[in-house]
Amino acid sequence: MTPRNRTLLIVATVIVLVGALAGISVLLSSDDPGEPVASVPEGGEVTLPENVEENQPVEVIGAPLPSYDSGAADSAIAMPAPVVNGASFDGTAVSTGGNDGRPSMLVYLAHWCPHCNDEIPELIELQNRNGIPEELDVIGISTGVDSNGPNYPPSQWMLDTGFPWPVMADDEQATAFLANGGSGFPYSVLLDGDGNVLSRSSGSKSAEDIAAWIQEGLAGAAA
Amino acid sequence: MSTETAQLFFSLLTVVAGLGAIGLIVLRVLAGFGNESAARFGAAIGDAATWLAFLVAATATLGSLYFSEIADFVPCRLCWFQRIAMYPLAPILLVGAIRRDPGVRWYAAPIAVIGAAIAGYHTLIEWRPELDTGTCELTGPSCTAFWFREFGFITLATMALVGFLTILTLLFVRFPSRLDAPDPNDDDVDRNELENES
Repeated sequence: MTPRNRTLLIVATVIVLVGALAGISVLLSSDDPGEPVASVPEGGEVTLPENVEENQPVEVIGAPLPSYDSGAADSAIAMPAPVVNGASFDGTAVSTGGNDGRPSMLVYLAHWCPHCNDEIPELIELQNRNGIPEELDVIGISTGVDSNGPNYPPSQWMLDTGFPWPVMADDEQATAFLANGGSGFPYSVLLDGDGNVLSRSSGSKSAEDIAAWIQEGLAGAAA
Repeated sequence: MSTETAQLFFSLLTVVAGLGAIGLIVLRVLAGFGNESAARFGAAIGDAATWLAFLVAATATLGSLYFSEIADFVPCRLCWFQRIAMYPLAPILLVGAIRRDPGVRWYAAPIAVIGAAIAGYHTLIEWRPELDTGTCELTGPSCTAFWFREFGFITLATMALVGFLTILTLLFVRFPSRLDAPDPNDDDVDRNELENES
């Protein structure tokens, strides 16, 4: 056999092998769609109300916070966060910031982000363990909406995850996220009752780490 | 083809490519110890090595495009760098295979080495996310997040790593047609030496 024929035979064999593997894959895989890691955490399937919008207009009153950098001392501590007036997916008014006398935790989440999908069950677990202080208002902000991304639409995603707190739908430009200095999801901002920044954090955390972060931030407010 | 089927298919290909590359290295070691059968079989594969390397690069390119354009898996930053390395390898190796140019490995190798290094780092931070930021940016997902992990270890970054290493193995593990003779396909061999032999 000439070297050329040998080469042809080997390449043809490899192509046949690839075809065989394709057949095996079809036979072995079920008809169910794949389960990407960025999938919705387990929760009850809830029907979406009618007339929802995945993005809502957002109004920012006050100066935006400096962009958060996890590698540096946070210059936004003690700065007043801007008041952000927006709405939930169904149009219900939701606001962040301001001096209503109650501390609040703003949690910015994107439906397609695997780390955000990891964060939500941790938050819910913490809530179920009564690990979130009663005086703390938690507000979720759905931002970075991408209609081509996993778990779209975020209105359904939030229902499916069982996220128990009010949710603001950010606008297409992620104005609410950027106004509070967001640079990466999941992103949390802890505010005191006067609307001043106690602490900021980016990246997914365990329930224990979230609890410690909240405790530390609120202790700073009390001091 | 569903996304799940595609994941399984490309994961199986990754396993076969990885085992094939390891098998080729084992053959070369056996040939080095004087095993004539291993040397003959290895030499036969060596003749087709550039074509096989092209098939690996082309399949990886098609798989990458399938996952981003059809399955809607948004590529992260490191995924893009690996794409930049893998995509040109397919045409470069195709031209090298058609022209039977043994020197093509020297054009393909730097790209494949850079791609393998990036894919290796990407695979590492998938297992040790604390080495990276653990966040998603507005423009795309985090590099520590993976869309699937087939058989408990094969992710898109693992596929890329195995692809680059398989290409390098195919291009650089050479078998002389006779153990005591220089490899006629080796571009480093003195042509006069070959002519004298014949």
